[in-house]
Amino acid sequence: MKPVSIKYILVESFNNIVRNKVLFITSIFTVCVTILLMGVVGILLMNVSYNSDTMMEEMLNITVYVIPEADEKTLNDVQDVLINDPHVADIKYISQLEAYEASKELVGEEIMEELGHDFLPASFIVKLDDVTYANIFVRKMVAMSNIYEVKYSSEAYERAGSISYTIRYVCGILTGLLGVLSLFLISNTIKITVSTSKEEVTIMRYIGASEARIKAPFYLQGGFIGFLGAIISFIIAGFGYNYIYTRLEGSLSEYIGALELVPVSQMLLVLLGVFMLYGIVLGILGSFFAIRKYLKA
Amino acid sequence: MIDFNNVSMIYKSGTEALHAVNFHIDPGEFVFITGKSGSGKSTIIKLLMREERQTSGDIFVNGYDLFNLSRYDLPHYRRRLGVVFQDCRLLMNKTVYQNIEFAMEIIGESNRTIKQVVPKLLHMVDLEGKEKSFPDELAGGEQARVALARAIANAPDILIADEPTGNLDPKTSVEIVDLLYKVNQLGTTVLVVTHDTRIVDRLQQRVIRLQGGKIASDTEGSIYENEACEY
Repeated sequence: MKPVSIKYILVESFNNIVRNKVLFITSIFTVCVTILLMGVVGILLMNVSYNSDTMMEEMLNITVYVIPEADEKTLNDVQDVLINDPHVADIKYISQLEAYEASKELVGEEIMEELGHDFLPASFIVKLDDVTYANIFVRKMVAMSNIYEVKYSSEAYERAGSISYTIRYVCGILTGLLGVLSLFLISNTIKITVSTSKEEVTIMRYIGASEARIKAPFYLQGGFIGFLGAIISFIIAGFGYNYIYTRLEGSLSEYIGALELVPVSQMLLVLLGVFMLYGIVLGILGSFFAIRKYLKA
Repeated sequence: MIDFNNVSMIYKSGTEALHAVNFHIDPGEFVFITGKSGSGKSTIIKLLMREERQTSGDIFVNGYDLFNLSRYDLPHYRRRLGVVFQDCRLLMNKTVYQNIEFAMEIIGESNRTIKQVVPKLLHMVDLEGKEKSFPDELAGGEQARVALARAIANAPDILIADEPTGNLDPKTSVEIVDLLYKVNQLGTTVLVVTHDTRIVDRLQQRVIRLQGGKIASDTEGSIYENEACEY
């Protein structure tokens, strides 16, 4: 697009905003409230997720015991299967000797010497990247002939899976509902801007302006509403979270064990990205619906 | 340049606005289209602007087959037309200069060209010194001049004027028609839809007279000496 066209689109978008400034400010405010509500939900969910990850990390280890008589090739075969599994995030190998040494400390040296150092099977401690995959993984390992036993806490997995599912489900529904509300509001603002610019659009069409040139200022205006709403929400949410973090950090663990908040810098980065993306996409989508309905060629 | 071949137009309501209309307009011609209300004058403009598509027959303008004109080609086609509406349709929130600039800006003309052309147009329509005025600060004739300047800003091949003197007093009407004639003398094909007998008589150009959606006559010079009372 020629620079003069870009200038035209920018100037027209600005004029549209000035012409409907009350409506524009109202839209930004409502988008801001919507994004903030989503942000509060997001901050809560991120912290729940952050802590549930920390708490369950230890519980979510799966121990795969290889048959005691397994030779080096068998061990390598099992290791290959684990390495090639896309959901395996981490593997730690415990040899028969290491298991023997560890058990000596637990049950006593005499007993273990009687049983012999090859009595205990070698094992792999596996971490998965997706808790919902645990049952499938365990069934796959048990089905292998050279696996002696697979130990894991199915209850912990199910709980983790359920929490993870609930978080996604709640987050999805809330984001969806708030998104629809924002879309409606932005679309309504653009609809009114379109109706106040109807004469101008008619003349543009008579003169031979392309549809892209006619519609671009309205898309830009929607995107700008979303962008400004996102920026304001980010500033409010960022300051708010920083305040809460400063007040609660340190004192939180006194009351609720090992709980800790997501660090401010990490939270701000996520909020900035999500708010911007959400705001701008919503703005442009809102414009799209209004333009499709009220600016037919 | 403009070819109407057996063009008929029946609106969705069932009204037949044009019936088997045939005419040809050469480049550089000045043509009046006249007729009573409901004779089909406005329909011809709508078809030329491609606001409507004919029910049957063919229309060719500047090499474009209007019935089969794609949505992509429509803006390109319209850029070669200039239109002056009876109500001028100026943008009230823009100054005289900005109204003309707007027409050039939206088809992507460079700032440099705009700055060169707009003053020349203002000089041509005798509106120098009114650049910063808003349309509601202008008299009817001045508004018509702005509309004319905007219509020719992109140097169209064809200028269509729909009742350009409809709301003007006789003296101003003459001034506007003289301007239209001046544009024609510079090489633009001009098509004026009017029922104003004075301006038709003044210019003595080709007149296509419509009656009930059909061409009643297609003559050179005035046709009103004996029929003025009809209008």
